[in-house]
Amino acid sequence: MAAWLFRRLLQAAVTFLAVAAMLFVLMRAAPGDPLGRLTDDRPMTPAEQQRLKALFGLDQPIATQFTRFAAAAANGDFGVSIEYYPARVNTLIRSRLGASLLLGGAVLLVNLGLGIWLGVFQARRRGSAIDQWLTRLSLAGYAMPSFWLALVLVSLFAVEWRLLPAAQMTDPLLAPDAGLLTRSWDLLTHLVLPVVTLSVVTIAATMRYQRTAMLEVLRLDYVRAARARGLPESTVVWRHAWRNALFPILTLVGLMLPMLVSGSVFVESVFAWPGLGSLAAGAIATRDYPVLMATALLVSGAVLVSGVLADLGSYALDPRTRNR
Amino acid sequence: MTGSLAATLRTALRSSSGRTGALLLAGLLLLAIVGPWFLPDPTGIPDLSAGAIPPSAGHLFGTDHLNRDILARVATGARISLAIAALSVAVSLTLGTLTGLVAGFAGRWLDAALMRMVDAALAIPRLFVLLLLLVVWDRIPLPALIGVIGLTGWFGTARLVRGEVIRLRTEGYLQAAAALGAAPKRTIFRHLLPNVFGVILVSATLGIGEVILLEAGLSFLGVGLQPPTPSWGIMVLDSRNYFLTAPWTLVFPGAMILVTVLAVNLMSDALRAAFDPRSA
Repeated sequence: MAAWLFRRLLQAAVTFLAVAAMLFVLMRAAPGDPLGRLTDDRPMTPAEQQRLKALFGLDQPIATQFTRFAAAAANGDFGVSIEYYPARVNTLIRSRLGASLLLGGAVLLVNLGLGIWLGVFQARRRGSAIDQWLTRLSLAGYAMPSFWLALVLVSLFAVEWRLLPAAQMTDPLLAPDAGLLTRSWDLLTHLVLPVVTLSVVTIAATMRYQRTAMLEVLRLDYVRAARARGLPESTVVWRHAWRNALFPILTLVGLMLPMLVSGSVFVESVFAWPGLGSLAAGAIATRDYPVLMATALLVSGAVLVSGVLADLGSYALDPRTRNR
Repeated sequence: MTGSLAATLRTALRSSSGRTGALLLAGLLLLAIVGPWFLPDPTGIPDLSAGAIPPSAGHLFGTDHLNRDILARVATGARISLAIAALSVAVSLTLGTLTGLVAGFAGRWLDAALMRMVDAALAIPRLFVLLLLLVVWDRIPLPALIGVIGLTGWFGTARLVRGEVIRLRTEGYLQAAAALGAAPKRTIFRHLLPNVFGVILVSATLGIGEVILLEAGLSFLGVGLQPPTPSWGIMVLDSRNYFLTAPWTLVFPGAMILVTVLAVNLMSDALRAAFDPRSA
């Protein structure tokens, strides 16, 4: 176990280094530099530009820039934001992380809970009309641009029917001494639309994975044996079959993270959700390169970590994977 | 293989999702190719004071805040969107397939090196890669945009094709080819490629849907294509300030994205089922 874990972690660390190198190359490969864009609408003298370059370390040789970048990133230091200067990127990210984790966690909960149940349901009724329609519906959700769905939901639920808040994470008019219950309710109502949007556009993958995995298991002999013993169908499906159809979902959670993060850039920006996604969306408009870079690195790191966790989960739950 | 390939494609087109997808896609292609000839100029501004007009006989999808015909704009948008998707997927498919074939066939250090690179590239969400590239790129020319989207989309295909090659390597006919002394080039192109074609085709259709969403999303975020280009994403962005009073300005461009991506994904679903009947 220890040796396996060590190898897996080492592999992830090497991959992360490669990620950092790739991001750095990307930054250098793009035509023009971020400061060049800054000076578009604000004419500056060459001396001022030089001073700015020195400030952000852009006057150094490429190799120096990369070692600095790598060292800083390894220390979890992403420098200074251009837009919010002199605020450090770290501070910005830390202040936004909670909201993103809350939104992402809620989406994951809905996505997995509902997606797994629907996938199993479809597998049990393979080929039926309802199975086919669920597949079509989930594909339609998968085909929806999240930003568009978000705007449509806002115009219906927030503007037309006035059922739910249109934006933000909390009601700005909420009394500062409001009780915990009022606050939680307020937060919950603000969560509904962003969570629904992100769940609709991501649930197809979960349903598909679970349906396929379940189909593989349902035709195995031990399931037939369980049925032959006269066990109730729900016991056969959930206690016997589903347990073995769960592993692909573990892998999926690792795969879903990039999708979720990309989706939150759009959804958070439409709903003005104060998370990392809207921070990144804002950084695009203001060409705040250090913020974008830090978000990309953070997200990639999270993807790699979730991959390790998924493997660890398989390792713990499924002895078959241990030989690899 | 060619005979069974045609049969598989027929099976895919006969399934209900395959038929629906193909019909929708045919309609969209027709709109994209022929539409702009018949419809008013999508960038023209006939009457600024009129503002956004609801759908009517004269303007089937209504007009936007600058009184531009929305049907004409989504038709030109279809042209742009489908062209970007088809061309960039062609780029990423070629790169991904070649890399996957080489990695799977060569094995050893070359495989290990290529796959570590693919792992790293797949860990960075594609949206962020493109944002980092495009954010400093003012008014990117269309060919460059296609190239950049294509260059960031081949990693998944490479891994997929490599997996197939490794699975196929132990098959009798490949060992026979090796025993007969076939050159690697011949083995790869005559024996391996035809057999990974199914995987590639499914990957291509999925890739097209992904690129259409991606391009729309980039335009919505303000990078990539710029106004007044009638990209669907730009149209949704434009409608943000008007959709409460003129909902048709939001509904139609978004619905175009939805229908197009759905059509491609239905095709992909049908192809996957036809190539791998067990999963249907």
